[in-house]
Amino acid sequence: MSLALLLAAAVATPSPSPVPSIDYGRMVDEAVDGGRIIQAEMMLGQWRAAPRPEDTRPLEIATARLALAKGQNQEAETRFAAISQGGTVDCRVDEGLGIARLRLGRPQEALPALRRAVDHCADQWRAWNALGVAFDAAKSWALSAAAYERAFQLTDKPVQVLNNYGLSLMAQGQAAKAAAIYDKAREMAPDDAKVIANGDAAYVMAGQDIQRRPTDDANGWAKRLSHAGQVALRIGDTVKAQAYLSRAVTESESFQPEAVAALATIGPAKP
Amino acid sequence: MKRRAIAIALIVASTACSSTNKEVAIRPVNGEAGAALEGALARGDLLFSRGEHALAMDAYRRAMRKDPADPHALNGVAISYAAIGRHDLAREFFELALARAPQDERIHRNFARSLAAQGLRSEANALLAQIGGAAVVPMAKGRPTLAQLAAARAPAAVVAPAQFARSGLERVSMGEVRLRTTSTSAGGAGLPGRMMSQLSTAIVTVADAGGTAPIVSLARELKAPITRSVPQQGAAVVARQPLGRAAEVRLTTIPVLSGKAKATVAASLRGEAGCPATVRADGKDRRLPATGLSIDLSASRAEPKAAKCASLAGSEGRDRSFEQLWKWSGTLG
Repeated sequence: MSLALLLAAAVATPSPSPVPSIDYGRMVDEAVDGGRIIQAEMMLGQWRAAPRPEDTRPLEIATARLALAKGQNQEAETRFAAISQGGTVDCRVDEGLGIARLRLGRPQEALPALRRAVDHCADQWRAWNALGVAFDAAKSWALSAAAYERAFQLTDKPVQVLNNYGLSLMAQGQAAKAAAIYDKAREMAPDDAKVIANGDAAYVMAGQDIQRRPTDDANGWAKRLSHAGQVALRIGDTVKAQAYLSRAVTESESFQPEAVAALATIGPAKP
Repeated sequence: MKRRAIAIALIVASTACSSTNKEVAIRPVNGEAGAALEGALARGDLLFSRGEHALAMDAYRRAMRKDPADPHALNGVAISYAAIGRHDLAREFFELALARAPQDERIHRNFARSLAAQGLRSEANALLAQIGGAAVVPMAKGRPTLAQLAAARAPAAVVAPAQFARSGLERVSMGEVRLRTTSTSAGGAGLPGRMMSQLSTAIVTVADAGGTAPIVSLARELKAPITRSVPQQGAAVVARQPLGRAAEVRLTTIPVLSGKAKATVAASLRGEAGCPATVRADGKDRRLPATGLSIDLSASRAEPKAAKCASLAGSEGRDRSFEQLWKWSGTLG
């Protein structure tokens, strides 16, 4: 009797609540999207250590995405291509395949994958952004502008899209418009070196002078001047190039080898 | 004979006492490993709350040696690095901590503060959005189109005269600042629409005289011509500012001062003078006013007004070399 009571009590005792399982797929995706490679790699390792049977394909996709995020473009392309050929329909696969091929300098091969990605998942701003770059490579300016527009309206990282659209405008010779785009990008990301450099290039190409920011120290300003001088040199404005490069040399606290080398190519000023 | 017997006895005795195993293994007894971990973490928390970040980091690292996967220790190392401005190193440990405790809101918030201190606000917001701490950036609605942005007239290339005219100090090294004063003369410029300027640079060295007024000395003076655009309208006359006056005004705030004065200036510059310390009586939620970082890992604990005090030192912009336009410098996701 007492034994039965004990057993009944044992059965009635609530079992400890189960530990909530970690959604590795979502978390690795978030870490990859956020650029947190160490976290993503570590969580992928934990996921691989205890996979469920249905995790095989998600694990492959996560591995390929991680390779792409780490800049291992060839490996990522191979993995994404294998998954795609296996019949998997997944926007992340098409998007990753397209971006990997773009980075490998194969924009024509990237186009079909990116088109598939935006067809199936029209809210993927990265796919639209990459599609814009692929159209730029084909000089399909109207299509690239439309793709960037979609990406810009969808993204939470508008600076990336603005940067690419600015480059697109410069490639079309619309430097003044590009300068306006980079002004907007600088408002959003004042310390983004890429945006500053490309914005300076747009200003020089548009025939406008670059401006020193309050946060520029002597060397940073000298590097910007040197860069602007080299841009002016490339577009054939030697007078402006000489002015920028001279200022880069005189205003810098340290030796500016690039500015000096560029100045040397111009030669002495004619009287 | 007797001596020999004693010597042999001693040798035998010492041989019997010596161990044949040369490897020395130190192992914790019973629960001492856990206690040592907890002790190191508690010491780290205490040192961090006192602002002794380097010592706190050492304590957290000791805890990490006990348990390399402990998220509290990883978070501690991360916030210690963040507090001394090494956000690059902090990032690695934040990521390791998040990998071990992916649902820990405290680590998310600390990481987001570190990112925000580097100016990476969108990344910080994305991280906070994962724990519901920040609204997802509104998209589409209200955002102008790219065509509208491109059509917007670019601002005039010239800079406001006052910006050029202002003299200022630039840090040259730990012991030197550079005082810039400018004077301009219109006409005679090498380029049309430009003005020749004379840039006068003085290197001012300040020595801390231990409690008394800092000793100021003029190390060297440089002069170099520069050109700048002529302002479109209302061309301001830029007068040379007397060197002595400018130096006198600026020296009260230059960061060459050491000790408490430096800390006070830095805190007032960050606008944190009125930010209260939130060291709780129970010792479980310690947030340092200077850093705003939390060292308690209980996810349930609320952290009100964290953002107001969340500011880390060392948030100056990065000095990265510019990429060439000619190599494609776009960005792909």
